[in-house]
Amino acid sequence: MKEQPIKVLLVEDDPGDARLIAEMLKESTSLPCALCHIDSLFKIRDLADETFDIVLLDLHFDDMTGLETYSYAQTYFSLTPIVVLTGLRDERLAYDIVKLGAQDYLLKDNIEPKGLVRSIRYAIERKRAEIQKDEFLGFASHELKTPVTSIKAYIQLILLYAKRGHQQDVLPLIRKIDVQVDRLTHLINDLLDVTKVRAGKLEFKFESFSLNEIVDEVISNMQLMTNRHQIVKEGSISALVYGDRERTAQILINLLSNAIKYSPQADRILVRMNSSNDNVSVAVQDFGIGIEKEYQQKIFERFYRIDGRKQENYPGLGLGLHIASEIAKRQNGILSVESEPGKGTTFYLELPTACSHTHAEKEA
Amino acid sequence: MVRILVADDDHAILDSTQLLLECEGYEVITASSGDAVCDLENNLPDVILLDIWLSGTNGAEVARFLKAQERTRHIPIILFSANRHIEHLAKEAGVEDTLTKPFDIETLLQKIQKYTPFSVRGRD
Repeated sequence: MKEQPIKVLLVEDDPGDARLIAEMLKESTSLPCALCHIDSLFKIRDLADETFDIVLLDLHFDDMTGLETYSYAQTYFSLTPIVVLTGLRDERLAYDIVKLGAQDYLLKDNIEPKGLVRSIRYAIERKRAEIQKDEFLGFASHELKTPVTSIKAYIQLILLYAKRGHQQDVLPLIRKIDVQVDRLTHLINDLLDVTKVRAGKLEFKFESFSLNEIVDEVISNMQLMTNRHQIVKEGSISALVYGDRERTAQILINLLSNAIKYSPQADRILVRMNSSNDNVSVAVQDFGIGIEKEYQQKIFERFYRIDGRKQENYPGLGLGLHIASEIAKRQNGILSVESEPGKGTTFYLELPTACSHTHAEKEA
Repeated sequence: MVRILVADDDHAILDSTQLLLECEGYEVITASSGDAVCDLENNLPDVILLDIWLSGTNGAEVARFLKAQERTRHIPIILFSANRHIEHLAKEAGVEDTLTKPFDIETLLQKIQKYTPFSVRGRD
């Protein structure tokens, strides 16, 4: 597939500088660019409906300070990376503007083709990461507010019941609040875990345990989260696995919450257990919307949420599967997916048995 | 009795809101997907509390659909969201009001009463 050229907007009033940059971009075979040049800052207004991949912005326009120039451009291109261009004696200013939000700066006196291309690439990636983080904060606060909303409603209900002397109805509500507090705790743990995964600092407590027991526990807890679905377990295994009990439960909770979330029309979810010589596996199958082939590996990436309108309807942190797959790897296991759009999705968690672990230890 | 439809894809939000409104003397029906809201048959509700992010369908689209149907156009819709800035979405979708999550029961009751001024609700 041929690479789309990068759409560059150059805002530069000095014809010499503009020509120089245009030539460098033209010659940059490693990064094909389509250049649009304007020689006055205020012509940005006429381009408000266009989108660019990057803006190269000269900081010196008549009667305006560098900061004003940047702020002006930034209001029109809040989602576009901006690299500011400045002279040697203004490096301090350029640096201040980067602190204010520009992605990079270049000194015009010693600009050269390779440095220019590097700066464009860097600025685009940096802006993409910033936008992703901002979106993530939006999703995160939405997700955290969901359990908080029901907790608050249950508490108000308890107050009403108390006022009206319905003391006997209060206890079930307190249990429901407890479930929601656990859910909130899981979300917060996910947030903390993702930073630890990144720093390679996720803690594990390795031991032999019964996967069968964990699966039963998690199913009975997750059944409380859905009225619509019946979570059905098929098969049972006696072999012990070697890993972290809590972390393994965390993977299963994640898979079942996804199954519930992405099969709003279905009435059941299957959890199948299997074992071979060295491995045990749990398959969590839903009959929901499924995942397109092109996204099936990306869903394990950090912050990844499938783009597009369809996905907007399924809020989430985009952390769960990333964390789950990292946890599986750390336990010498593997998390994989099979899916058909419109039919449903099956996630497979495979973990080594405690027995195979002991053999491996002995051989080592 | 005043009938309220509560549509949200979160089980606990549906449950708690239903219990609260029932405690205040309203009849409550619930829906956990956009399709369930669009398929409303007889016994139409007097007010709809509609989550903006319903699994499977966008709440704002559901609202637009209801506002485009002769049968359901008159039903006041309160758009329900964790996002505090949804006025523009509400306006676009043609709904009457918005409510931010988490919410105060008093605020919800005031809004419902505003759209059902002539109704008497039963109280236990």
